[in-house]
Amino acid sequence: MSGDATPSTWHQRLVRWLKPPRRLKFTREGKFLVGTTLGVGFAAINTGNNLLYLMLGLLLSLIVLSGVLSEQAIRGLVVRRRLPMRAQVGKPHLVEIEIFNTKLRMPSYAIEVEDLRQGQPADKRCFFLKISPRSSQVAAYRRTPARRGRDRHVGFRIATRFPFGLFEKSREVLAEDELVIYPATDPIALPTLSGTHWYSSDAAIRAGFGEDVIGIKPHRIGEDMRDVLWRKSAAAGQLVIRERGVSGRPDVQLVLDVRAPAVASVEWRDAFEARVREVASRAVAHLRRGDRIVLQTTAATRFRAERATGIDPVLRFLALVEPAPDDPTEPRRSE
Amino acid sequence: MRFGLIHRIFTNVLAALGIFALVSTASLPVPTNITMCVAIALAMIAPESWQARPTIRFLSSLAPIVLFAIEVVRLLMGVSPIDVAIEFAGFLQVVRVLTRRGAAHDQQIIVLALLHFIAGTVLGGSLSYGVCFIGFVLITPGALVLSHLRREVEGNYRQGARDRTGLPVDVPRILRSRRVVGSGFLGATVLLALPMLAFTGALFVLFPRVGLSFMLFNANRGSRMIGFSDHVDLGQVGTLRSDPAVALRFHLSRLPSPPPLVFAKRLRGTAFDTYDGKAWSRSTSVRAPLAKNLNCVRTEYVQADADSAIQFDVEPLDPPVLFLPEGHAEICFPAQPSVSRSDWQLTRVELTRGSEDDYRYANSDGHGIQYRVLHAEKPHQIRTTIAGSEIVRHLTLPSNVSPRIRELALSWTQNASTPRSKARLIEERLKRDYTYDTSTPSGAFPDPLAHFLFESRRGHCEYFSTAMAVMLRMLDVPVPSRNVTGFVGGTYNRFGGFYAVREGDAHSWVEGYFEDEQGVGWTTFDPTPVSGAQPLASPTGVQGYMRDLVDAMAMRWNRYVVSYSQETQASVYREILLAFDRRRSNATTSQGWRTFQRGAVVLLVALGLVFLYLRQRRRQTGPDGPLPPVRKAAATAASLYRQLEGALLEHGITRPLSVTPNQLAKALGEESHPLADEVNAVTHTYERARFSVAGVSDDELRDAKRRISLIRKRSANDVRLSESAKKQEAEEQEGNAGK
Repeated sequence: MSGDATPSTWHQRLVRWLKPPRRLKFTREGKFLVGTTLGVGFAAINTGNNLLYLMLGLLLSLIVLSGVLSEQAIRGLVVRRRLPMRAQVGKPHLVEIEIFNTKLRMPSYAIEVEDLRQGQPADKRCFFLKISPRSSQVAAYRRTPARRGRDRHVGFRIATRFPFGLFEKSREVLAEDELVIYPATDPIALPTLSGTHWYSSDAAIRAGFGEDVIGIKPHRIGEDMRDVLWRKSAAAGQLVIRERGVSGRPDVQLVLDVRAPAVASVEWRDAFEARVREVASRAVAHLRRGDRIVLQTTAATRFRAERATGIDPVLRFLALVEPAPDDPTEPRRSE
Repeated sequence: MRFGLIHRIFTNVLAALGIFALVSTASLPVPTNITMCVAIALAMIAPESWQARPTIRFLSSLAPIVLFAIEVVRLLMGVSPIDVAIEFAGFLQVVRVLTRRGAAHDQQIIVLALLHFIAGTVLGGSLSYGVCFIGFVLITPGALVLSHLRREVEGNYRQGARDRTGLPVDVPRILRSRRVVGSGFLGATVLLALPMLAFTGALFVLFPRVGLSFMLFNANRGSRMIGFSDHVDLGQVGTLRSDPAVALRFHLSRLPSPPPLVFAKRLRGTAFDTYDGKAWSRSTSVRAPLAKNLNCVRTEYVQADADSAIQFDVEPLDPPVLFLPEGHAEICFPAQPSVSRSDWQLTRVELTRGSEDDYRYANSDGHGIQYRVLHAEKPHQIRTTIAGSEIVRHLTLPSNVSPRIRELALSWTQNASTPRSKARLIEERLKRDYTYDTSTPSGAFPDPLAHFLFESRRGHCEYFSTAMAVMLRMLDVPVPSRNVTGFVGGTYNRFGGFYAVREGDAHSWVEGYFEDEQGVGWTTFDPTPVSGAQPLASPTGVQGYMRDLVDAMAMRWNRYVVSYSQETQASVYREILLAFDRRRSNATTSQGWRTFQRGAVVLLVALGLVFLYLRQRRRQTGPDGPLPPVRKAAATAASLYRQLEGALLEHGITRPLSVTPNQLAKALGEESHPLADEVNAVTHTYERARFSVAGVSDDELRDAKRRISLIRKRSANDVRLSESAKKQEAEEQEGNAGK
């Protein structure tokens, strides 16, 4: 994803207009060359030696050429980011960066793309040695998230030190993207279900409108014709349909206390995160065992999940859950 | 070609150019130069696999220290500090090239080569430096680019970078790759030399020449000096005749067509009045400064009909003597910037005249000198007189001169009546009866002149001139005489249109003073046989062609680069302004100029409008340019639905890849999701925009975006509460129905 945000107000436009479109930073070699150029320039002016003027011209032309070529290198590049389907705290994931060179003839060399994330230092870079014209290159970087929640990617910094490594020229492009980081989960061993238990699978199924098929029965008026078993109906001489059942097993209630004190301390935040992690671990364990769960927070939010929906919605819910200020005047709902 | 191999070649060439710049400009001993060249060649051809050997790695650490210690010792032994520094820099490069490993070492090689080049710039300025400069301009961009790329590869990929499959990147494979650097890349890097040369040339011509001269000690180490001797010693000189190095060049203002290949112009340098039996010297060292009129100096041979001019371009010379043709009347110099004075103003060439009518200059900065001489084409018109005291010192002879010489002189001149005719007879006899030979043995004898005249009867020009000068002083009516040295040349250069005078063209002749009806003053006699009084024969064929080419290039390099001065710069500006003024003054009165003005204004406005249009278009369409209509509609629809997906994501609703947008909208509708209506409407708009031929209107697009904005604004809690409330209501209804 790439593109530029359109400023909405005049002062934003002014700021953007005043902002230099490129950033330039000296490298160590660049500092050396500029120092040498200044020295040769001073010597030329001081002595009037024509050969030193030639030398000065050569060094200055290198600097000018460096500016022109580096500009050519970072022009016409479109960068896209490919985020993984899921990411979880403490588990590494790969982020793919695809860069496309839209120029017709000129390749771009030595391009570095830095993925910018909101509120976090940019530490992940992808390097592209050569991007041929009208073609793209893909690189990936590995990242291990440390916090759950929304991980906002705001753009890219495209930088190059091409052609001579004297300066690093860079420009930033906006490319907003978001990745929801799931909370970490720990393995929890739940007892296996047994047939004699009150919530065993046999005892838990009863007739209803669920997904499970528990038998066949004659069709009655008003029932869904899509459940008709036509071959059996032909054999029986009357319409026969699937009899559906629903689990009669009670839902597993998982309650997360999100009430935050007026001034939340660091310790409270850590404890809250630990609670989220524990609830997530239990939710995953229950879902893997086949239980239906109901996640409920003390801020009156509730989330149902079952094995068929997978664990992603639960983890997403827990990834985005935030502490709510405790309001003693509000009556608490209870299930 | 392989990336690593190309990089190695470029770096090697740059290192070799740096060494060449040092060797060709610094005054190091020849064995040192040869050793340095051989060592760098061996280091460059050393196999790359050696660089991983422990011995070489050990050498890379130890050799610079040992080298430094050796040079310090040599410095303490009295060797010139500059020589020591140059040797150290050169051999350090050899060690670095031999022991390099990786991009960092290659960059060190490039830096060292650059420093060598700067040292060459300071130390000398001959044509070989110009060749180095061109080589640097051609090679430096490629070497720097490749070195930078290699450093980036090593720096980025060795830090654990992985490709898209998550595997580490194979750096050696990249260095072996033939796809990174192709022929196009090499061609482009070499072509970069063109803008670099253009920029360098523009800066060279336009940059103001100031010459601040802070902290300069006038320690010109300079360039190689032409070996014109300041004294004449019959026992030593004589080997110059084979030296083809160019000493000076001259242009004739009136060049005949076709120009003669050899032009035996006698160019007077200096003269001597005292002979001690073996060598010539001057009895007085008094020199008189000459009055200057702007940049020109009038000599005493002023004649109204001085009607020919010669432009001289003299290489660095020791002693700094001006070489003048016979009958010179005026000498003019271009102004030169000072490097030895604290004031930055242009200094005029300081000219002095010696007792023997020789002219010397100062402030040439070790770069030679250029001057123009007006002279009379008929020397006999020139008249001058000398005082009686000066006549005496031109008649003095040493006590040990052989009396046989006097007898010989008298015998040769017994049939002549006037001093001038006697001088002619001596000149003729010497020319006729003696042989020109640069390897005469007479110099080894105590009285070389007598040995030349009576024993060997062969010698070089100084024997002939000495013999005649001495004989003139020994006549019954002694003739004041002096020994003159200079050049006789030169050979025509077809490329430069000038005559080149070489060191081998050095010559010696005689001037005798007469006061008779033919004139009063010094008359030139050249008793050397014609074979020895001619310029060196030019080589023919390819050798001659190449020599002329190199000479012409060296002349242009000296004239247009090394000697480029503030006055030249001012004249360039002046010429440009004058040309512009002339054109404007010619054109202001004409319709063409007004048309040109209007056209220029229209062109500027049109260019500005085109620039603004392109800029606006680029902002609207992005760097890829406008999309075709079908792709544009698809891109709009996709962007719209991506926005919807982003908004739904905030409510925890995602769309699996197996579910179409329409299915998602229906599923939400079946679940009576509170966002179902908005999602359904936006999905409908998306599908029409994406698949229908008619597309959607702007109003519909705006409506869809408004709905997406509404979805974003509804908080997740509102939606969930609303959703759960609806579900509870439905369950209650089901329960009631069951009851």
